[in-house]
Amino acid sequence: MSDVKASLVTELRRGTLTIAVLSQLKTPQYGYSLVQALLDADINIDQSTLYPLLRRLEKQGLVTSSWDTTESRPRKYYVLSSDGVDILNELYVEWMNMSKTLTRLIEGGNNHESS
Amino acid sequence: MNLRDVYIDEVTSRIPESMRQDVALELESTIDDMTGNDPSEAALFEALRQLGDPHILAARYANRPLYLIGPALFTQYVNIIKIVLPIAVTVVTILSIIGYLTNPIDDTSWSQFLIQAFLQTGAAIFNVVVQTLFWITLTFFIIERAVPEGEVPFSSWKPEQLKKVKPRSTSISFGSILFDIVATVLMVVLYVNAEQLIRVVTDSGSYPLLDASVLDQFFPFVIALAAFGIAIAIYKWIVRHWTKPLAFWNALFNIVWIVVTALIMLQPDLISTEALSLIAEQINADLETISRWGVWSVLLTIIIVCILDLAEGLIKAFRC
Repeated sequence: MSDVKASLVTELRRGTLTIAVLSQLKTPQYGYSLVQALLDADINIDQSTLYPLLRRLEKQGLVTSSWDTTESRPRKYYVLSSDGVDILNELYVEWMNMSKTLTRLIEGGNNHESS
Repeated sequence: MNLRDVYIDEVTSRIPESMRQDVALELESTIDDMTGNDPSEAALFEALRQLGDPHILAARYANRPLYLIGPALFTQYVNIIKIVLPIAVTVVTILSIIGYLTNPIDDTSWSQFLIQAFLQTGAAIFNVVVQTLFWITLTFFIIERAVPEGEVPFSSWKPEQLKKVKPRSTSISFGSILFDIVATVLMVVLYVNAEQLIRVVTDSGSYPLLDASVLDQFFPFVIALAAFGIAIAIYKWIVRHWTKPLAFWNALFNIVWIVVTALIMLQPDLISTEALSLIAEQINADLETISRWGVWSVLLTIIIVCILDLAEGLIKAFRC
């Protein structure tokens, strides 16, 4: 039973990964700081998924990247582009709608309304 | 080279050149972030374990699928195999049998000949199955990677297709068609080479069982019958289920079969006298009785088989 639950939860989280990553990129982040930020929010993202995902988002024009060489080790910072900000806002609206719909579905239970 | 760099190299050697340097640098700083400077081997390994298999990481960077053929193509892939594989196996089986039977047998014994023919045909079939699967898989492997993401390379399924689906109970199995073709080819080869292949063997020597001049007389009929048989088999192959016209042609074919075989078998000099006297000598019986029994039992078997086949077609075609 707990196996079933675990795999369902994984499946549920997979779809929200992009939105979680985008939400953390309002301010510039490098790979490891992003992992830490997500971990603090209790989102354990597979790192072999995260770094390729960042590149794909960059290719899609949602984030931009730049190398910062002023610190002790060079770091690649990612930040939302203006398109990325728009997309994040739209995704957020989608998410809120979905969340509302699900809440209504779940809490409504079997009481079908006639409307 | 330390193990961190070995790992990075394992990843970057598998991604396009244009992104190699950038990915290498980013991985380097990421791993250092995870472990701190000058980490112990255990700490480094822990970090690398989190990044996982370099092959998988590289595939994700390069946006390469981690599978051979994806779900969008898989059903088409299986369908193509189901169409091509039977054809390939049929052609190879027939070619192999013809090749074997038309070669004159020298001094190998019958059992040796059969085992050899069986093994070689089996090997030829195995070979063609492997080749077919390989080339089809390779083709789909390439299509899978050549088609841009989100596009469907073949037309997708439509509910209208259901109208063309025929009921299973009237379908003709591929095995039976294959059997028809192989049997026809086998019969013709046996007929043409009857002098070498159908013989009575005794201690004192061997003689052809059937008289060659009688067989030659019927040669055109047999070839026409075989062509008719192959045509029916191809017809079956195309429609793949019993229809009324098919059942009619199949019935006609079976009747012609019975007539032609009866004509040949009832020729008084069909069985050569040398062979007949040899058999009679062995089992101590009268010539007339043996030939009559032999001929009629074979003929009767053929008639029964033909009528069963004829009836099956008609029943299945007219039932629905």
